[in-house]
Amino acid sequence: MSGQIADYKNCNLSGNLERDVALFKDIFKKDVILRVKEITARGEKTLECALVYMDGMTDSDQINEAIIRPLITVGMADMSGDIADFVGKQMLFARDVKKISNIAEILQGVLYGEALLLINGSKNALMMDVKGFRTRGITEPMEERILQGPREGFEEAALLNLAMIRRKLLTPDLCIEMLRVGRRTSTAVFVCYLGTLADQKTVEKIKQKIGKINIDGILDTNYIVEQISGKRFSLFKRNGTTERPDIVAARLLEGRIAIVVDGTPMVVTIPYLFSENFQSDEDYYQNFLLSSAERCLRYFCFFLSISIPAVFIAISTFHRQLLPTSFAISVMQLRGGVPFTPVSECIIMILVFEILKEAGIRMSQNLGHALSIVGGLVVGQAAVEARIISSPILITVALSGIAGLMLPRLKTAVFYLRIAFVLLSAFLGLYGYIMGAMLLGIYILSIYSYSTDYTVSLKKASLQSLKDTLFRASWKNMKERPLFNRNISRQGKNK
Amino acid sequence: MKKVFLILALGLFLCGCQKRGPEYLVSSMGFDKENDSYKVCFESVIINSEDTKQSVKLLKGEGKTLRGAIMRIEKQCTQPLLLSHCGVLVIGDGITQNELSEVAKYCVKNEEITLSAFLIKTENAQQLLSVKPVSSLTVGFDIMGLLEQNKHYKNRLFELTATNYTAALPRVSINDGGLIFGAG
Repeated sequence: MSGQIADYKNCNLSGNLERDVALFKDIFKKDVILRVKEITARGEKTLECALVYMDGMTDSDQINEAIIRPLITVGMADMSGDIADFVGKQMLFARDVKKISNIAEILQGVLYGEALLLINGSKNALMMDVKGFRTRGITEPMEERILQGPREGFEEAALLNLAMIRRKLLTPDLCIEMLRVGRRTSTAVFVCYLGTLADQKTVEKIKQKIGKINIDGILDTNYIVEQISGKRFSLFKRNGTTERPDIVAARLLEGRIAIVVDGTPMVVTIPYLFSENFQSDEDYYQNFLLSSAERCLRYFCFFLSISIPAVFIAISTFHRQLLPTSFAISVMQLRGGVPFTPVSECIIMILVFEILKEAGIRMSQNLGHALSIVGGLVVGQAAVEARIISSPILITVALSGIAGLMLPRLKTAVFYLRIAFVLLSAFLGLYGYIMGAMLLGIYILSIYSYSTDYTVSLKKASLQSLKDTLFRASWKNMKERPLFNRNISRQGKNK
Repeated sequence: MKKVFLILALGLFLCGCQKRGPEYLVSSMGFDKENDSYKVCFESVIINSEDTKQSVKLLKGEGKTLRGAIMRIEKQCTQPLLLSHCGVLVIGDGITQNELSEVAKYCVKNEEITLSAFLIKTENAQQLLSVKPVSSLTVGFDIMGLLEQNKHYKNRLFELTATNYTAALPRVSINDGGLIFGAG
């Protein structure tokens, strides 16, 4: 026995209550939260049964009122046929009762918060949905705060998350399929999509890939994403992650697929487009003119963030004639006395900025503010005065870092690209920078996210395709969905 | 892989430990010829990290060839001269038509010197560049400012090479310590 549910795949209940109870007690011999309550139902006939459940994962009120009370108070009739059927249909008040006999399936249910009723003399047991574990509650996601629009966020219980999505999409077209992943955790993974909008081939492919995952445990959506995305070393995200049900609903309405994993508030949506990196959740809840301006600003900030240090290094090292003379003199004077080369100075500052950023995120809010002041102002000023770092480099890296903060979804790409561009510029000047920009363009254009072209909306030569990419048009003018040809129109009859 | 990473890291972070002296930003260059030898002078802004105020120095060199005179100047400096901001080339009367083409060719071949640099004629280049500047840090910048306002002169380096060194250059002379512009 390897301690996995799969070990019991071919085992069934014996029908002997004593033996079956002993089996469960043996399986969970070192688990103190397993509860086994033996109940005797009397009437025309005596019925001996045992209720098996996990304490803390079930609702004790429901167990008392829907299972124990009816068994004790409703008399057992003298009947022929399957006792489990009779008990399930005529005695219990539980909301969802199903007959079950396979031990592996029983274990999955019990571990997921369901209660098991073993009946003496029956090879079938009854599994009842009495889940009732405490959750964190619906709060606004910390990372995706907005000023306008819905404030609710996902939490760790997948069923509650699915209910939140369902509440936004009141249509039978919403499909939710469950898969179990993780040899030891047997985590519930839900694949959600709108049947008439999502690409069925992609849905099947994703389900197949999830089914093939062979790992001990799944604790977050990233465990799944890293294994199904195919390209491990990708600079750019190929899947969207969100904690907001409204975002998931909006993406499902565009024909995307959502993956909900039990135990994490992060929901993954696929496929993902390059333009989504520049979209904010708030774009759709405020005036489209403002959203469009902010979106253009984000594209500009991406360019700034990866280019400023590289262009500065190239110009100050190789192409000083491009600087106005007075500015060149000022830069040379400020750089004088610094022991490092501009490129090493720049890389040191980029790393310091990242350290400060990470430290600020991990700190508590109050400490974070203090740290940013100490780190940004005091250390920066001291470093410049001590001639460890020159002020032009400090300004350049800080500006690039602040521009990068505008793009939280591109933080990995921005970090690596910034360093790569700096190195290229340090070796080849502006030619290196231009070469890097061209290679980056080619790379972005060649990316696929789950069989969907990453830049599909930018490549289409139509104005309609740009209406939710470079800028955000008004809802009246946004007529097409960005992804697939099937059911492409958002508006009009029978869409 | 580890070794490559180590070499790269060391190369990147240790290559900065270098001896640094003042840097020289050349604002104008003067060319003269006397007694069969070239006299070259570079009006340079000396940028010193220790001193917040920039000083200007006229670096002089003499040699039988143009290259030789310039090498003498280069030897006086601890760092390579920054020629990319040189905006004015002052040609002394001692430089003949043939020698002018030699000077121009040297400047064109030197990638650092911008092709949009102005050329002017004067009696003695060294004397002109020794005048006290009026409105800018150097005489070179003063002359450049005046020439940029005067659009009818066709005296930039690329214009001179395009006309096969036959273009008329504006003439600048010194009067009571000031500069006077005239036709070449």
